[in-house]
Amino acid sequence: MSDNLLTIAGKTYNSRLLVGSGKYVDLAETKACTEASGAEIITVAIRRTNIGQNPGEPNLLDVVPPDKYTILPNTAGCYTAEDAIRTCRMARELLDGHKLVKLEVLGDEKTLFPDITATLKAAEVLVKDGFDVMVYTSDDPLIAKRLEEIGCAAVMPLAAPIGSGLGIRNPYNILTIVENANVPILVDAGVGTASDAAIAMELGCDGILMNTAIAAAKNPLLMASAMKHAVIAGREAFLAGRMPRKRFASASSPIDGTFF
Amino acid sequence: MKIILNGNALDLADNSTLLKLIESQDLTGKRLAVEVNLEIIPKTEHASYILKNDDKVEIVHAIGGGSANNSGSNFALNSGIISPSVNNHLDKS
Repeated sequence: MSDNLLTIAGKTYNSRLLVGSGKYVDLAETKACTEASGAEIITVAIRRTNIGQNPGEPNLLDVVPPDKYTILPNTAGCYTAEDAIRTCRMARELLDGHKLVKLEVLGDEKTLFPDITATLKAAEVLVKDGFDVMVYTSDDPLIAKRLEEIGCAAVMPLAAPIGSGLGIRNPYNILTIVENANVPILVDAGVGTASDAAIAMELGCDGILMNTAIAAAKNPLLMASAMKHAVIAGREAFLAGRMPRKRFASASSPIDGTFF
Repeated sequence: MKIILNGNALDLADNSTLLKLIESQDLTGKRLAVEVNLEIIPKTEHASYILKNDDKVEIVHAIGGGSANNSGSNFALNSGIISPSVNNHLDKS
């Protein structure tokens, strides 16, 4: 079922669910939830090493090892193109020449909406520099197309603000982005529960990236599993093609042969 | 001599190499990346790279994060827009 494989930057994946590794209670929970989600691509942040504290502290990459998962370094927390580019280059050095990155350049702390002009600028530089760029953007179809034209490996529109859990707020824009695209489209941000994930997949999205919906659930481990199934269910429903909507009822049992 | 390591001043013997600095911080063998004065110094050059007085060194690693995770010290944020006040969960171990 090649329809069920996700291809990003020439590499194929069985899972269409990508997960973040933040907001968990500890690394044991990060590990357990990552495994339960079935995700193969895990996004991580790049930050200063703690100097002079806990020299023996466990490292995230010990529980999410790069030989088992595809690590997707992100530029979370960057508010300028320069900071995002610098972060990607540090990530490439950290991960021994790894080219796949998640670009996000934020514009505003309250909404965490992307700064689109800075995102376009950073994407151009990173693509020229040889990175495979998965880019967080708004749900604007024209901008999504422009990011594809720049050469991004995947375009990742938000469905609602990061960490809001508000669900797919503008399904028509997501649909338009999907229909126009020649690169994978993944919903990044906004999913709150399993039905949101299924809706995004039913729209034809190639995948979903989420973090808070799992990590902030009352039972993160169970939600990781729910999300795994929701993404599979949504994908299968998309491939199956839903029935047309009708205003009035249509009996499922034959009318012929009734004895009453 | 004095260098700035991850934003804090640090006294270091003259002509110390980058590798020496990494060893002195108990970071030997850890998966990390190093910048000196905004320039990435590849792992293969750590042993030969000699630090100078006033060098600004950033040592980074991967931590848990999804989107816009502001926890931890973001080496790239010079502007002070976000204060790294919330330590990431790895700090508590």
